[in-house]
Amino acid sequence: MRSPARPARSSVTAHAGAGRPAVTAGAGTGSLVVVLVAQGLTARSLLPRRTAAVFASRVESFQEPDPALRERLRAVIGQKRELLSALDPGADEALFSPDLRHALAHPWRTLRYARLAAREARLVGRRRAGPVLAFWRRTHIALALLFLLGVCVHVVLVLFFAGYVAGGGSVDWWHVTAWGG
Amino acid sequence: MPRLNLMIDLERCIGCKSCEAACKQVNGLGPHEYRTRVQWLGDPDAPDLDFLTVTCQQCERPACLRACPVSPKALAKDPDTGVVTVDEDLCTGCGECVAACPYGAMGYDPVEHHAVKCDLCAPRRAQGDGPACVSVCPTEALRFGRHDDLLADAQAAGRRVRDHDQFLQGPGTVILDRLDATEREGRDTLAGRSVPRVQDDASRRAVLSEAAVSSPYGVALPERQADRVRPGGCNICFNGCPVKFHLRGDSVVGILGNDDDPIFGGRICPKSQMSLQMYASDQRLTQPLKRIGARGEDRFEAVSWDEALDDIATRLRRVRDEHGPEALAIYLGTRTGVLTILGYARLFQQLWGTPNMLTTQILCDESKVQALELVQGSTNLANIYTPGDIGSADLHVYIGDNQAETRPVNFGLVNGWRLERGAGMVVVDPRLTATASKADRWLAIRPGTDMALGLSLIQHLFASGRHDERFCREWVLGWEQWRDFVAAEGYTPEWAATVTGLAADAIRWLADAIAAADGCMLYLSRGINQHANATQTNRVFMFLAAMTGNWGRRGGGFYNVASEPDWGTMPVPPERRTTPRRPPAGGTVGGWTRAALEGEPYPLRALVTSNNPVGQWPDEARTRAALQAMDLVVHVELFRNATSAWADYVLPAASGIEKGGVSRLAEDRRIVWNDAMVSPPGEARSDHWIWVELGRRLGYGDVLREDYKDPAVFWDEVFRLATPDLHGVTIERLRAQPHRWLRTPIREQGAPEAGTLYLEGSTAAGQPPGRRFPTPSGCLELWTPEQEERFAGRGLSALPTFYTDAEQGEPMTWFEPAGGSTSGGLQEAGAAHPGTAEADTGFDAELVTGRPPAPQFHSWTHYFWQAQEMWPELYCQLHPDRARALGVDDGDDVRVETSAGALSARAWITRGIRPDSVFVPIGWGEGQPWHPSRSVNRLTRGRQDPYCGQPNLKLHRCRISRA
Repeated sequence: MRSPARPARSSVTAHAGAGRPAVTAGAGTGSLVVVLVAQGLTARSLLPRRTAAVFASRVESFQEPDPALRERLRAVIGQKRELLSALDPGADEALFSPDLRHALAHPWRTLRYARLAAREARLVGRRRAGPVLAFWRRTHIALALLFLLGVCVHVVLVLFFAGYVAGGGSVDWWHVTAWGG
Repeated sequence: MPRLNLMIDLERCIGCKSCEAACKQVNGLGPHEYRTRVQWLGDPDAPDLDFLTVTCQQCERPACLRACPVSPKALAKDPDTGVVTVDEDLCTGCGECVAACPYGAMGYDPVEHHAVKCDLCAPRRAQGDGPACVSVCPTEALRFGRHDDLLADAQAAGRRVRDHDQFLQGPGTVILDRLDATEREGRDTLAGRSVPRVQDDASRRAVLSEAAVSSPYGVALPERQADRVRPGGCNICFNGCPVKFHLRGDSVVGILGNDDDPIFGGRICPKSQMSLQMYASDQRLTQPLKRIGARGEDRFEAVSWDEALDDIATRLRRVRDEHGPEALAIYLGTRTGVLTILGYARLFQQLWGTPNMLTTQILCDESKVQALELVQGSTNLANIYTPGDIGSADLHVYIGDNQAETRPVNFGLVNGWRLERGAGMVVVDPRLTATASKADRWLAIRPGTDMALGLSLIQHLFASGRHDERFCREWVLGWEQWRDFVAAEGYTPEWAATVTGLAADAIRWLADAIAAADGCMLYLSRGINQHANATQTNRVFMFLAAMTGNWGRRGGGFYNVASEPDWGTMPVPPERRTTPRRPPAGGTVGGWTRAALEGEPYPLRALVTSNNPVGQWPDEARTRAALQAMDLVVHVELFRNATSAWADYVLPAASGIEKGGVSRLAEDRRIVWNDAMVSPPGEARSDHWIWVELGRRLGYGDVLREDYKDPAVFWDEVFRLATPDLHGVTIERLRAQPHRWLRTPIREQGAPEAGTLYLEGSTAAGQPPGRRFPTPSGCLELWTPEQEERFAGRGLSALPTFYTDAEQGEPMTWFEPAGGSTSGGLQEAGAAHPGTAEADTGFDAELVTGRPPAPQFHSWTHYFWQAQEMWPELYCQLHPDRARALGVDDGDDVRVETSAGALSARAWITRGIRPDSVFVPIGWGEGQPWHPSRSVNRLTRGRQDPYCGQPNLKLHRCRISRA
């Protein structure tokens, strides 16, 4: 039973760490929020000037080309074009990047295309921006997905495995199920 | 519509960054935001310097666009033009495109958090114009057009187009390689190059985030659109480049080149454009300030103009009563404008009665002025920047003149013409400057020994009979004396090689090239003028020009910085004139500090000054002491600088189109007029207003009349009438010019503008018919008994005995003034040589000073945030051999020390400098807003030229250590 003396927020916090195996998942999800927010704020406050400073930092790209690199790129681009003709026949490879629509319609092809695109980006030198600039957004998305996953796990656990989560104790978060009632 | 692109010519680009300046103003970009940027590329293994303009390549397969994760994408590629654009409203600022672009050509706005990129100036294109960067480029290194047309033009010109499609993105920008790219033993022009840290260190630019940025920077397009455009001229340096001021209400929102100009065609350098940041700077002085602390404490209170000027007048009267009128010194920089220097202040000087008035000319080109008056009888230089004159030269020789960095627009004209004609270019300089990087040959001369080079060129040409005998006989007075003298003294190339550090063969080659050229232009500048042998070195190269017939002809001549009309005296009624009873106190800034500190020959007690004596004069510590010793120091300036702290009053000045008038003297005799177009900030007033008001308080209102506050009235009624060369330059005629300039001399109203002067068969302005040169003899006068007498009075001879700065590290003939006056004599190399003695005590390097790259100009531009973004910190160029011995890496802080003082600077390691030399630029100073530093004149204490008094600012003994 819900204790009327406890505010709802405290209850949620409390039950997130209630069950033993769930302690890790709950705490991890909670920590993820903090990390996600911190990373986002850091990126927005500290990275912009570093991002701006990338401009004109790749003068070596204006050197005469390395034939071997071009050959490898040519192969990747060829594969992309071939795959694209099946993924989105009307699209122009030069401007194309897959979106949710492609992922839903052709998940496997989209994944393969994305991997080819990532390979091209790697050959083109995306990482020369430095790991922080090159990967902060991807890390941010990964963390967000993890958080989302954690929330889903949490919801499933507290709804359908309440006794397990309570670790044998009293289940005092039935206000959640009361929403439906 | 066909694919549109830029074409970048590596042969023409001089790294001036004018394109960056245009891009930021036209697109409203603030600090850290770039759509284009020029990188300087040094070569760690060879003395080489190139410049690369980095901007969006408008790729066929744009990696940025594919990387954009936003849906719909914030980046788009125009299917017709191929131009890739960013929708800043859609952009989330994730930076994926920045990381993705292989060329590092995607910018980012760190304040608004969105991508920034070149769209080839879409708003300008919509109005039928082209990209702003192309419109201003001083060297025409940038072109814009249809991709296929650009390629066709490159092919037609036989130029090699770089293949820089490393990543199969299909970059559209056409990059033309250096002309000698194939001569570099197959080595890629850009391979292995490195950007000097001092030019590209984002961490040092961080302070600019705090800069107060105002329109047109950082504001939306509607807020920076002009409501009117007016022609005028840039007032910063000697080029006087024609510009168009874009005005909105009472603000300047744009400064671009004047594309109506028949010669300049819209070319301007970054300084002209960044003067926008002067007009709207929050660093400007806006109120008269009165000192309330001790001198040097920099504590002031704001006062009214009346209070300030009344008190100044009272204290000036007191100085006059106690010490005589000569106790007042007036020092004016070219910042104050020609009308002030040669008009208002000259009237004041005559009314007051002091002989002590100097301008920055004493530090800049006094030696050239005096040499030119001796040789030619006029300071009007012969040649002009037109295709038919300078553009027709077969050979351009720069000696101590870094024109590409100091006057980029003029260099752009010269280099363009010479590339079209296939003319040659040689640069003689201790450093591989931007100018030298464009030359066919760089001769790395020992600083201060150019006179020896000139003498040996003369000797070799006489010895080989390659002089222009007819011209010498008909037009050069004293040429035989010179010929016999250089032969007798043994000034051979072999002798010069030991002095200059150049190979004798290289000297002979240069002499032969000059003689063989159908027209050779010799350009000298501060690299010659700022040495103790400057007058003689100027005369030597004047002789070289004359003996090869390169004087008074199109495509051949002698040049040295600004060209001045032959000034008349400002009209003061005799009864109102106060004749000084005592001669000038030395006639040099060194003489002034002595008079202030030691009272010799008499005490100087008051100084009215503009500019920045503390930063500009040699021996900064002594300058501070001299200011400290004075009863009254009045400083009139735009910004507070190092001198302000030592002043009793700091008066806020107006500038450029805030005050109007003639700004500077262009080096090709152009008088450039500006109308006053906007209000000065706060209570700032024009120098014209200040001199009239001060004069009125001292009882000079009948001469310095109230209506003369209007510079147009003063010009028409007083100024131009005082100088015959300017009689025909009326305000009405100036204003009728779409480019606002006229080339003088124009001695009568309605007379045509002057072209090349002193042509064969012509008569010099104001001379009797048939007198080609305005000297007493009508010839170029290199030696006369009268000249010999004048030189003898200063311990020299009119015949050019070689000597150099006493600060040379090896024993060479030098000049020792006797008893502190300017009369003394030459000392033989074996005598106790000051420089050698210093070298023996550890001062083992040659300190060379000079101008930094094009965006900087003295201390002015250090208040422009964008100039600081381009070249932030004081630097010290040194050779890798020296750096290695010291354990110094590029970008490290080093300490530079001379017997006069020390400072700290960032190391720029380059093979483009003599191994024995180090270079520290001028302009940085304490109290500057973003990158304050000690002035290089903390290090200088050079002896002065015995003939003209110009001090050696260029060569000192120094030692370097890790800071």
